[in-house]
Amino acid sequence: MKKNMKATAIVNETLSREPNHVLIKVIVVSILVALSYWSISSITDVNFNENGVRVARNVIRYFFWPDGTTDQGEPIVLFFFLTLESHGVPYLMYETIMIAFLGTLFGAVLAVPIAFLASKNITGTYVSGFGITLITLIRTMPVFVWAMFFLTIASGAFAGVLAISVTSIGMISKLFIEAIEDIDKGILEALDSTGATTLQKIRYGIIPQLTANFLSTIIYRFEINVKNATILGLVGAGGIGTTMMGAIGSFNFSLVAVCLWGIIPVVFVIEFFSTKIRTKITTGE
Amino acid sequence: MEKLKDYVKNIGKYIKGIFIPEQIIIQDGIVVSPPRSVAPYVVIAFVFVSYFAIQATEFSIFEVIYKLFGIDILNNHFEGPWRAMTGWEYLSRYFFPIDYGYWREVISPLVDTIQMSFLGSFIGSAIALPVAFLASSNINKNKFTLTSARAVLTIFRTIPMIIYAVIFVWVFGKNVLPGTMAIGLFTFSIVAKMLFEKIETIDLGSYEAIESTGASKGKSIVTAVLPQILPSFYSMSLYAFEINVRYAAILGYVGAGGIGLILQSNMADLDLTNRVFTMLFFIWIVVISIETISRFLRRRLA
Repeated sequence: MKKNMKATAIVNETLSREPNHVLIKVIVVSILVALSYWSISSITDVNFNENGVRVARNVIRYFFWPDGTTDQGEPIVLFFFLTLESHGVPYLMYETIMIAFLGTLFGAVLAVPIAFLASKNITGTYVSGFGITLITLIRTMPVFVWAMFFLTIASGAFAGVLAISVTSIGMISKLFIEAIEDIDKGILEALDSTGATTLQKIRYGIIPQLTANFLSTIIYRFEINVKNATILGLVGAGGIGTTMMGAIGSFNFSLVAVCLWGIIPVVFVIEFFSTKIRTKITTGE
Repeated sequence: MEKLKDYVKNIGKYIKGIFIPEQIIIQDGIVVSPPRSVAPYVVIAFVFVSYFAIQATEFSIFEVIYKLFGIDILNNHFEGPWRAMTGWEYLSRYFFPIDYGYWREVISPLVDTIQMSFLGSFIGSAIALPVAFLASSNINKNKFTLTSARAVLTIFRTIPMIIYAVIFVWVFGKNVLPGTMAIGLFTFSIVAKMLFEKIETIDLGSYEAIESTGASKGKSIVTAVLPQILPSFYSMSLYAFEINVRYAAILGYVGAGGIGLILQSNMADLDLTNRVFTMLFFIWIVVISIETISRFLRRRLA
């Protein structure tokens, strides 16, 4: 009994030494509650009726069993999913992936000079500050807005490529900057001591340090770009989104579902391989 | 000149050297063959795919030149510039003259956007916490619930947020609720995914120790696992909030409330396009400030 009490005392003492964050917790929780209350107040005139219930039921039904027909009476699954023609889902997904591919490629190429411009250890404080501001400006503009801009000077999927490449610049160059600012200068000095030329120093001293990081960034951005490219069609910039938005406009639930079943496996597979390849590049396993 | 001739003569050898590196013979006669690089094959694959990509997307620099300068190189006969204006004129309409006075009308939908993304992120992350435990293989040993939780997360994550918004607009009408729900669903799926990946890497020693004393599963999770993952959970939720603010700005395109509503109507109307810059400026300020706050908080958490 006595032993037990001693143990309890020790436990209590240990517990009392635990840091006490009650005040901070109370403040944080009350801020969160207040913000939620304020946010809920913005939800007004919700228009929920039997029609909405019917739509919801139809959406779920057609998502799992898309057996509707087109306006001409063709069965949608056959007409859109199992055809290789340019209106079919396989071709549209191919086009979507190609938009993302080309956009990522151009974005990555354009990001390299901007990243070097915005790295503190290369251009100094002022020029790099300008570069960073430029990058933030590019990054905050939604991809749709860029697509709408580019639709004025290009058409369809081409405008999508331009929009994707410009939005990619933001993130890619941001991660590039981190890689560039981490360059180990000791290697360059070592190469200097062997009498290497500038070109050789870049080839053997700088590029090997950057490739792993750059590649994994580009692959990650490609993954995001495929997701972005699927919805670019909203403003008419090509890809599967164009068909999907047409279907949404005409309330054709099963066509939307067919498009989604085209997107889901492709995005999943790309995500899976992107994670695999990136782990392999960065850890070498 | 001699060097160039030598180069031309041996060009086959150089090209071969790119794919199969030359063997090096060290002093004592040992032959060393350097490892083959995959880089040249990757480059060839890239060029190949790019060719198809350019065809599939109808990529054409001549079109841009035509629309910007009105010069039709190679006589491609592009469709005329939109509404008989050149690209420059159209582009500059988005910026000049800037409608400064418009800011009064921007504030209220912008606040809606922030409220939408806050509430959506809050609810989404709150639901994500328990589901993440259901989807982590080291805590949930039940194959069936594990697989179904992951499948549901995957499907939710791969459907674009704007599609949720469209569907919820159909169901609930054009207001802020569809946007909030779309953001909530999206946040739920990405936070749950990041979180279960985190849970699978943590040290389970203390969890097993507490479970061995006879504590229930829920209790051992709360005492042993939760303290380990809570900081990352907060940081993930903040990160999701950061992304959501940027996304929420475009959800209004389909009528899901927020600043996207007026952005869409102003971009579509040629006489109102000069308002776009004012709106983008305000979106920019909000995004930057929320990003800064979130970065600061996340650094404190780490």
